[in-house]
Amino acid sequence: MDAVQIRQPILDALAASGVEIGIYTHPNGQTSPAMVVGSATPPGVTVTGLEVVILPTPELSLRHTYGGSRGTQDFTVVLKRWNQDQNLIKRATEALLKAFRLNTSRIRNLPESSSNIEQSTIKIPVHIGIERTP
Amino acid sequence: MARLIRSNKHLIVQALEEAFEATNVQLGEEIQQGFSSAEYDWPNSTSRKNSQLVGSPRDVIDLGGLRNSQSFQMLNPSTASFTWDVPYALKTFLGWTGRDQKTYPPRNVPEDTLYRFPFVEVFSARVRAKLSGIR
Repeated sequence: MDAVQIRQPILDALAASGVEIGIYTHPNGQTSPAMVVGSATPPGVTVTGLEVVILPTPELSLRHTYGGSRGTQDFTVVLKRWNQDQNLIKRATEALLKAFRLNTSRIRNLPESSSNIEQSTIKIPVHIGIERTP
Repeated sequence: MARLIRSNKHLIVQALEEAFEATNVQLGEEIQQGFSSAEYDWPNSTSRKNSQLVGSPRDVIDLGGLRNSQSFQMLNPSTASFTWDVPYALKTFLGWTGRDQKTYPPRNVPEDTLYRFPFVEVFSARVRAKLSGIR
């Protein structure tokens, strides 16, 4: 799985818990869901609501066994709040924890301050297995 | 009938616990090294408090407050805890986004070091060394 493929499961997880994703308004006036595979908000867009940033390169952790290799790809997802809803990040992280069956050790929350918006970083593991051919 | 019973459980457990703590101490030293050796891409240049002008890539050290705030504690024989006790620790490690939409990337020295550190290999070597002394 790559970072683009994990977009839909994240959208489904948020929708299943009734969490609305925010909106990107592009310079030409068009709008799209506030979700990006990259390291930051696309240049030139205005964001409102919940933004989801999926870092493009997952961390790979492999264990080699006689039967092949097994391990996980950890996708880093950053949830950012661009409105006044103080519960938005909490509801969004709970939605992802529930859908991906994660425990809270997978979350790092950075509270809002005078210089930064509230954000939460979540590592979502995807299990992978590579069987050794005889 | 003859029977020989050898019970080294206490020594074995002690060897495992000492090896685990020593491996974490070594990890802590690696993280300390990482603060000055790791380099991260950065979106702009900054005039640091130490009067250096830094661009990209850059290390994490300005006056060394974050690096020097690192502390280590064994919470119990199988749980080690590292703490960085400055107000900007979380922002540095996680990165942040300003209200102007500018994003500053994470510089997570502890996690990046842990990712590279061969914990199992170092721990195993220490356990083997300690157990070799048990008869």
